[in-house]
Amino acid sequence: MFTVKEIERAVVDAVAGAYGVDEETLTMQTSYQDDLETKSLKVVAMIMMTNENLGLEDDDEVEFEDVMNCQTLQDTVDVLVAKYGAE
Amino acid sequence: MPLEDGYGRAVDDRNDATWAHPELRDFWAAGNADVVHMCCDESIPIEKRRKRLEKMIKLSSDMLASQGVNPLEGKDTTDADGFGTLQAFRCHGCPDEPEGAEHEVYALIPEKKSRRKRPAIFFIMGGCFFMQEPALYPELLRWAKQFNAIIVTPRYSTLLDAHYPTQLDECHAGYQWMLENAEELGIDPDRVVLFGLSTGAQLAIALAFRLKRYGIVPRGCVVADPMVEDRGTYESSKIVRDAADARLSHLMFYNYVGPENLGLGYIGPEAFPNHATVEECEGLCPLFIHVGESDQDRDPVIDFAGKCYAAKVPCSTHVWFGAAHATLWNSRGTAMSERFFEVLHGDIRDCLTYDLRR
Repeated sequence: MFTVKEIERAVVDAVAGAYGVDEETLTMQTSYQDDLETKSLKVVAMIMMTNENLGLEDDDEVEFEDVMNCQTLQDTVDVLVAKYGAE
Repeated sequence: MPLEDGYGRAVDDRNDATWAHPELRDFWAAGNADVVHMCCDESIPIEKRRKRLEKMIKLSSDMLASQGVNPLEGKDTTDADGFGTLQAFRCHGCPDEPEGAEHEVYALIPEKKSRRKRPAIFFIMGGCFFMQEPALYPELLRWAKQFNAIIVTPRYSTLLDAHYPTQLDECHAGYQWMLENAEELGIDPDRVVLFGLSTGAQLAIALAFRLKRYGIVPRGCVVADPMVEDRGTYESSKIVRDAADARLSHLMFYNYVGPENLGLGYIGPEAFPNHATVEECEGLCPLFIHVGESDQDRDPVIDFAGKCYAAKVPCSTHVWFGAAHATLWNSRGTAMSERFFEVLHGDIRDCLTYDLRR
């Protein structure tokens, strides 16, 4: 069980690392499509880093289908909170 | 003011997407840099790296499938939209390394039988010697259908498990397996085109050199963004782009040929095609080479093509404006990418329609 803050922290760090942007520029409203202006394989790196940040392994890991419809960072956090639970 | 590297020399920073063709800008940052950095990080236990690589490949396949550009949904027995089945076979050993380990080779075989032998496209997957998965290449099915061809694609060892020349030996073993089974597969062995992208392109040209040594000259070799050089002494070697550049190539090739060989030019064109002399290029199969304007290997590719021209090898060289390494296929679905694949398609068609060999 994670806290919402831990999940937010993991997602922001993963997005910043994967998309090569400064964490300071990201908010929960940041849109993957409109603000990060990049597509394709970056989402793979983002998922890998999220798994790493949360220490998830094997069957517990975040999968592409979990986040494929996420438009913003908040959507991603909501999906992960729903999947893993949060205090 | 130009950026400088740690030694005060100017570098050519092309991270900004304004270097890209407008249709490629959204894809400018896409690449396999994360894969290479992770796989080459020796502080991570190798089993963990292997596991992470498998995960990356799965995520990439899932992502492409979600975009509807992946008609191949598996790797062992894949229904290819009624056209045929991607079947996995086993092969091992090539003339240079008869005791080579057994590995997989895939063949996309049409369901419909044909009395006439079909041509074959021998496709070598790219992905920095790491990211191999047939499902990542929807063109395989498209071209199999369009050319009524058999697609054969070998799996080869990643750099986690082996180093040069194992990967080339395994591609050679796959080619030999195809020739030995041509009758059963319904392949015309005289109508085979080599095709590859990125490191797959490097291996395709390297295989053309290897096959020439054994008196085999395929109908052609069509490649995009081949890595042809490990000596970072060219103007394009100064290009800095986080998604893929000469720094990333250096890291990858350190693991491919080892520090004792890297950047010295001692090993020949079967490792790095641009190590070839003009004489070594003589008798090569027709080459159709595509490279991006901002690709780190742009100038070595042009250099290599120059040697091919001097050696009278039929050769076409296309430098794509506004493209960098791998952007033209990472941007599938854009008009620019479609145009790129149409040109590749035309090159393959020419090789299969006409005998361009000299």
